[in-house]
Amino acid sequence: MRPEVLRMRLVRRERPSAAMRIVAPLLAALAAALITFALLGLSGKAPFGGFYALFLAPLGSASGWADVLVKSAPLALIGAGLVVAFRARVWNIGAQGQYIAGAVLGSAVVVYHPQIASAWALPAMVALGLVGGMLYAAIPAFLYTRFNANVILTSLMLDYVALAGLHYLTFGPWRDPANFGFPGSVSFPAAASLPVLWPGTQFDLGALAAFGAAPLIWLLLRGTLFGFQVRVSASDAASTYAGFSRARVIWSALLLSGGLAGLAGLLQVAGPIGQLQTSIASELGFAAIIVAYLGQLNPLGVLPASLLVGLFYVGANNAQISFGLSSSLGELLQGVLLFTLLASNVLVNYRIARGRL
Amino acid sequence: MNTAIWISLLASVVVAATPLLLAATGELVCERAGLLNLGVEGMMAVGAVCGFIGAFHTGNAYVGLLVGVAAGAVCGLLFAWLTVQLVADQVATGLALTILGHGLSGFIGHGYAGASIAGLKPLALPGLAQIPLLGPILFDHTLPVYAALLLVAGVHWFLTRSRAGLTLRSVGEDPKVSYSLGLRVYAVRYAAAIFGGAMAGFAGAFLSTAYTPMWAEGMVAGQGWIAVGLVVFATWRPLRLLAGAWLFAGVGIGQLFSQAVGFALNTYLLSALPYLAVLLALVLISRDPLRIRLNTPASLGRPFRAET
Repeated sequence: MRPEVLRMRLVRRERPSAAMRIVAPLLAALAAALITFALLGLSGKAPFGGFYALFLAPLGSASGWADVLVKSAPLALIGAGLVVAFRARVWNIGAQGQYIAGAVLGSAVVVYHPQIASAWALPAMVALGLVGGMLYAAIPAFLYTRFNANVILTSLMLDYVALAGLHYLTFGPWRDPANFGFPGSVSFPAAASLPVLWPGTQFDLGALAAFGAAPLIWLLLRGTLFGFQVRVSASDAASTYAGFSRARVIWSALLLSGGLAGLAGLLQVAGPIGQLQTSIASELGFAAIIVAYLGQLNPLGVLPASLLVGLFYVGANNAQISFGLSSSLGELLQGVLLFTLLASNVLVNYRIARGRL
Repeated sequence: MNTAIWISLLASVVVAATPLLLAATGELVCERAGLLNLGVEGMMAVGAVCGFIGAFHTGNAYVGLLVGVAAGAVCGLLFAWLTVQLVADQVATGLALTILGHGLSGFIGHGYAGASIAGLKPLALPGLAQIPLLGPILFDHTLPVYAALLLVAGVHWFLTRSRAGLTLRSVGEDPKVSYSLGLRVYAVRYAAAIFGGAMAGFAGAFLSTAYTPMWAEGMVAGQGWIAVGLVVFATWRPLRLLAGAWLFAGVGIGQLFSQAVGFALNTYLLSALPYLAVLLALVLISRDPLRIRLNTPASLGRPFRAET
């Protein structure tokens, strides 16, 4: 049977359309906005007001902008790393676990030296955050290259293991007894906290640095041999032909994306959150997968994509407060947008012709 | 050790394995047709919330189950439309489905947290339930528990003995050749994805109408992912799913076992155990590349498009 559900047919383009690569996300955003509007209408909760609270209210004030930037920064950082992995067809779905691993290892500095005042505290934590994410990403890399175990599944299972570990530490040995019985480590002292750059908001040095990852990754993919290998290694045959080791590309892609996810975790605990606590694992690793795809697997595309998803989070929070809508709205929007994007991306490689096949 | 305790433990393993078995069997059929659907976790979440809402408003948990199955089927249809019709990337689409399913279930279930329903009642199979030992372990459960066992047997028969099953397998092995032989590649893949979705929805609805008759956000809690792992563990063979589901369900309720045997395990370690078990199983199964490669449907995850 041939595709005839839509009474249209898709004809493969001779080469992917560059214009459509830009148009498709815009079409997708439009479709997603319409679907959101319909969903709000169906739920019977003020579609216009809800729509305003979601997409427009956060952008109406400077502090709203700061909130969006703070929420977007870790997404941009993790997303930039995932672009490299996905471009190399390494399905690292474990960014969430690598993020936790980085936050945990970096936090160890403060947990074991709660009064630390050294100027070396932050650099050490940043380095440990990177290393934590890389070590955790090394597990699926090892299991794949040594035992051929599927990266999607191993990296994903490790997400749940990391979460259990985080719970163990924050409820157990790392719990601060002075914390009124709440789980979580000691609050980070000034020397272990990132300096705030925008007074009165949570926008700090870490958030600024996080946005720098995407241009660096762009340069890496564009101008280095490694970048070339990543682009070539999308196809097994081509990389064998070119004499590249697929195992090496897998290791590098996982270490890079894991390291950046770990760094993002550290920047969250040393930044906006200020301690190691259970709620740091707020699905950012998963949202960053959306960001990578929304950015069309282009490192520079990650920047607008992360801002959009950051806006969803802040907007959903808004809608929850002012309209009693579910806080899952942000996640729902991400899903809808990714769907509409995947659907509209067909236009990059195909054009629509009328009639049946 | 008290026999009664062991009987009730094993019976609870059989129940806990049911959602894994339902979802994994659906995914197995989908993957045998060449479609890798990573959306099982999200489809289960949608099935769970829709099943609960259906049961809540009709007062009938069986209607809830049906609603859950239908909702899952719609998710499967959506997956097929994107990946089969629009040739979208299967990995990305599956992940999108998982995220969408989480978000959607939280959104539509928002007003139902804390609501209560009368869940499914166990149906003791007359005659069989009276068998000593085996009866209470296997034959004194709610309907979906039996359905899952029948499903595995049915899918095994379908794949190995039926003509339609042969068609499905050849589409999964080589869609190009199948297409040129006149097999309906698109229809088969649509059907497989819808079946996979329906079974994931069934699994989710089982959780919210029978296992714990309630709705809570995030109640699927990774079981959809374990089901996906289970398919690899079973090397795409339905009967092996049964062993795998019981094994992982047994690890999952290891806490009860450890108490029965008389030692306490760390709760945090316990909550990570099922995932570690899947990880270990994946490594052990995959280390024989020949075996895994021979069993993996050859076109799994690869897009197919009839060139015009």
